[in-house]
Amino acid sequence: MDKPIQIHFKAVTKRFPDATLGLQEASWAIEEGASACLLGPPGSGKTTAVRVLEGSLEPTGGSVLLLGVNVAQEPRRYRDIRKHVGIVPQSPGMYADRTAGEYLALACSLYSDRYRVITPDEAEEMLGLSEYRHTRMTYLSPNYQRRLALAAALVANPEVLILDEPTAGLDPLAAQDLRHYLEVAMRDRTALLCTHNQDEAQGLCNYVIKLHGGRVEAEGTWEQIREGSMPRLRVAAREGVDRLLAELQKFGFHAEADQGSVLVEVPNVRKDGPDLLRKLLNEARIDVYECAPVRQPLERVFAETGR
Amino acid sequence: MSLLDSDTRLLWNKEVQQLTRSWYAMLSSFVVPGALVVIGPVFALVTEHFKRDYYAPSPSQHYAGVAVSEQAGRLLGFRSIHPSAAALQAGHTDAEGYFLYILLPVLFVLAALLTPVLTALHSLIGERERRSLELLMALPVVVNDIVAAKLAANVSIALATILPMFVVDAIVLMNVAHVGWDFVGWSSILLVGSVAASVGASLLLALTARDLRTALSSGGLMIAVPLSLTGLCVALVPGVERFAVLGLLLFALGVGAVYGGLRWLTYERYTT
Repeated sequence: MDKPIQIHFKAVTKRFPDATLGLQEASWAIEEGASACLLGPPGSGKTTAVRVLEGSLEPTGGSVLLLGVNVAQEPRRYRDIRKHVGIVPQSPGMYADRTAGEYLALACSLYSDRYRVITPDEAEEMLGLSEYRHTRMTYLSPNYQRRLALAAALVANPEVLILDEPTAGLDPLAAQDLRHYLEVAMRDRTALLCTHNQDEAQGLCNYVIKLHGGRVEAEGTWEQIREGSMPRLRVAAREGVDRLLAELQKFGFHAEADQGSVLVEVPNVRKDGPDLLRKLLNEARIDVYECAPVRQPLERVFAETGR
Repeated sequence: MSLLDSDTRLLWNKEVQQLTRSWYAMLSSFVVPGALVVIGPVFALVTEHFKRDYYAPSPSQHYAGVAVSEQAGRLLGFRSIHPSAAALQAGHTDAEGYFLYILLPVLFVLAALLTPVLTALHSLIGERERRSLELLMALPVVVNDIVAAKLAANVSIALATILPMFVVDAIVLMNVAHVGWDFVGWSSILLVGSVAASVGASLLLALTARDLRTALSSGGLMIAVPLSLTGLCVALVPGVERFAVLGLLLFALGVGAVYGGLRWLTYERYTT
């Protein structure tokens, strides 16, 4: 039986007053318990999607369901379900006159006792913030500022956790440190991570929604996305790359040189691989000494899906 | 604060804490109304009182040396607003009446209008400019709660500072200028109406201005409307009733601005 869908974008368009399109007919669905990511370059619509989910932007077309509630059309129910959702915004500003402890206490109060399952003390301890309880928020290092935002999102043990570029702007060590906490935080709940960092996305998520220019370019598990792309064969011959490329072109294959061999696109490796090999060996009389399927790098897969 | 729901109350508490922790916000909350509601009027009335006792002049010589134009003396109802006015001869004017019924309403409107607008702008637009609004929006609240809490906090601070100052003012007015309870009552309505107008102006500015600089520069335009109303009321409404009429008009203006802002402008202007 299918798991319930907890975040559902249905043909969502967001047009800003200056006519910029933040999202264009974007549709995707995230099931309960999935660790999903919105992957895309800056300006691809990731933050727009988060802002629609947090209720600060209203879609100009389509609908957004969060935990089954229409974000724009059901304001009362939306207020209730927001208590089940934790959000970590992208590089938020900090209060100069509030301490980390005061901010967490505010977050706890807003989630109210009915939903809160951990205390501010526990949240601080969980994210290594205890010693900074009385530190003003602006005095925290960027890494600890992000931890604080994450702690505030986790105080209610939310069903859904939304993270908007949580490691953006951090140095590599701090980002790595924060990823450890993100991994723990995303476990056992539905999580949506917005990032432009593919390695981070692959490390933390099992489901990907690739955005570009506000449109969904690809959606699925990493394997599904790889399988959906044009497979390739790596071919090497004693006659060299130039001869190989020329012969492949004659046979109508799209190929390119790569590290002393040739990468050939074939619609189906199992079916077309042997045919290709026979043509090269028998018709072109080329001494092929290597022919093996290769996994496409994801950058290439995404580039293909974007074409 | 039962008008606010529990989430908004928590945010209101945060806003009040932040405002009271801000030395500059508190200073501007005290200095401007302090100067306009207490120091200016009390100083004028008390010095006049002692001068009157010392020289024992006739009532028509109140505020000796203060030039009151013939036009002011001819304003509708001017002669009915002060007991001594009826005794005035043609060509003379009642300077104390001029102060109490023409200058004082303007001072009250300015005091109750300017300070809340300035603190609200810093609170509303400052939150957006330093990006801490994103931190708030990530918490389980909606933008209505945030804006309502900020406006309520500013009104609370404004009333908490202006009303005690007005009590001092009222005591001096009643004992020195011998105004009646009606004058004090209607004046307090004027103050509350002006605070309401300032809330409306703050909301409109927060929803329309892209940044604090734009808000501050266009703030004059927003304040021009209540100030024009003040001028019209002072010129056209006779007697102490001008305080009540002006207070109610400003209250209606504030409510209208809030309603119009929420009806025709969206919070997206504030959050993006």
